[in-house]
Amino acid sequence: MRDFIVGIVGLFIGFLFILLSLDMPILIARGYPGPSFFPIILSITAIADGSLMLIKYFRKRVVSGSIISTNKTVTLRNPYLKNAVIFLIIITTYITSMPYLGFLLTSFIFLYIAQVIYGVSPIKALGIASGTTLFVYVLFIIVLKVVVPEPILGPIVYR
Amino acid sequence: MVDLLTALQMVLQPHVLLSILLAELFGVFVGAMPGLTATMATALLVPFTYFMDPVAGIAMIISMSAVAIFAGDIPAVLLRIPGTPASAALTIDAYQLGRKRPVSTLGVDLFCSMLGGLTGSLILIFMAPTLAEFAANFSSVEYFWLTMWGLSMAIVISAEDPLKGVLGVIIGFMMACIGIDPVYGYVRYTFGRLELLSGISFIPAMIGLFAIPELLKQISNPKERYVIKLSMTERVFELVKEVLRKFKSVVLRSALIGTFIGALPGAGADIAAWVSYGVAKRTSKSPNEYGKGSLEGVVAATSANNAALSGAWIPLLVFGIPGDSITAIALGALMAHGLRPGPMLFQRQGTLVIALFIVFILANILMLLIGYLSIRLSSNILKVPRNTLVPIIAVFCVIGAYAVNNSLFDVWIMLTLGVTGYFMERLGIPIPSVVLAIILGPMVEFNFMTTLIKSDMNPAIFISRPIAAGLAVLAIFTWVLPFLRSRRRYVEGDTGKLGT
Repeated sequence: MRDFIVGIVGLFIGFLFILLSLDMPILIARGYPGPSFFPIILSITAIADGSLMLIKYFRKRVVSGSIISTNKTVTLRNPYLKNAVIFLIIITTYITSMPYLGFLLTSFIFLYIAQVIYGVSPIKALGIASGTTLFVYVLFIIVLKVVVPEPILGPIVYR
Repeated sequence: MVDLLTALQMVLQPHVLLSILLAELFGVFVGAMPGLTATMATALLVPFTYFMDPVAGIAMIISMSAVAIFAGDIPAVLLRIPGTPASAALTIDAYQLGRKRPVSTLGVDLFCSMLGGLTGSLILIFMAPTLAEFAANFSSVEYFWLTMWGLSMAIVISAEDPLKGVLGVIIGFMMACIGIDPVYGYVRYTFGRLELLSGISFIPAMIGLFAIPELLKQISNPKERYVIKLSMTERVFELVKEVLRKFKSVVLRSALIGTFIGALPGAGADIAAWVSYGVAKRTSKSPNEYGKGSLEGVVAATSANNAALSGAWIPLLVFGIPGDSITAIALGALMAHGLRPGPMLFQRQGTLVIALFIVFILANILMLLIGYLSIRLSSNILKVPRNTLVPIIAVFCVIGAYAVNNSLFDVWIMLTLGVTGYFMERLGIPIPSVVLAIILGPMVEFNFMTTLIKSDMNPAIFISRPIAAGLAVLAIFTWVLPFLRSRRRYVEGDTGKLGT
């Protein structure tokens, strides 16, 4: 089944890139290759690759006579997937709120919440979140002069 | 002889030695921090070098960059996050190997980095003019085939299913197509976003593709308290004997490849590591171990990337042409001291050149001490429980991606590619193939297009020059071989099934 999905992905990105390249010239004056010449070659290769994957998948299926025995089944589901999804939600919220609350505050909140959710005691999480935020502040803002996102109300208390 | 003694006197000054040590400490820190590159660190160092004598100033750049390339392997081994692009090739194997023996894997890394760096330095000392002359013959055709050869490593990496490797390469290439086209300056696939004009930044992409899938995997598995169980009895250099017994030739060959590729302007330590890794896999007695924690793979990549660093100084010193971005900045520093690299430098300031050669040797030897301390310190990170470590690393990934261009957009790129990478891994599309194609994509396209334009669209130009033809044979052979092997396995598998 994985071969089947990969084949479809190959075809999809191949056709998508062709579609996106339609408004760019493939060839320019004197028949020279234009800006979409190389991407079109890539798209054709992606379509060919995807087709070969599908052919391979269906040939295996014909040989074995059963779809289940042809390949490993896709195991995108997993009992602990919930943890990964929660993590993605927290990190997305962290990045989204950064321009409004500033880098340091959001980092501190993210570190604290993520640790507590995954079982670290609140007191310990508070200490680790504070220490890490301080370290990041000294290293990136003081020493390396990285201009991090500031809170929407400006640097009232911190950057 | 008199020159050599004078050069030794110049290098063995306390302030020069102190500069080397401080620069190496700075190099460890920069290399081990994802998002900070050796190039960025060199740029930060240059203003300090203005106030020093030329030997101390240039020694700082040489020492810092050598150590930074090694230190980039530290987060690759411990956390699957390559600290610098030069560590990307070995990340998967080093991490897998490091899951069993993190400290000694880093020890091998350090030792081979030193050997690679020393070999590269010796080649720089004895063969610089010859190599530089050979590299000067490379035109866009040779570069095209060289990069195609480098790319074939993506297929070698994914020998289990080369079609998936090809798809990984195409996905990487397509990402590299985003932004301003390298030949005409045409804006492509940016959807009106100004942030995409200069393309997808490589470092956020690399952090996303390597680190985020691993963080998601780690956080999904609450059973294990630690990412890796650290053994207190593990010694740093305990695997070195095995390396010296089994992989002497791998170290030497990789260092030679690394130096040669480093000497080609535009091809740096990252490409050297990939090519060397691919060559090692093809010639290995146990190629199936690659991608699953192959010691040989780690040895090959890490020896090559440090050797490439010395190699990059060959065209700089001989012709005044920088071999990579670090030497480009070093060129500025040399010129600020009134030194104009080129053939005349060897004649007019021979002693200084010898002093720089000595610095190369010294920096690589001292790296052993600084590296040892950094391994001992950094491995403590594995004592932090998984549920604390993962959020902390996530913050470093975010700031690492952000710091490249001071842009939140890069952080989103990192996260998006991270999630994409997670699913690609589940589907068996090799992440290193994607990363390799993002690195080489612009070079391949530029050299392919300019060659076609130069020849009035005559494809025969691609094999019209002897070096190009040789590289073409090598590249095509490397591309086709895994497919033939895969076909043979498939046919044998079918025959086996039918027979039973």
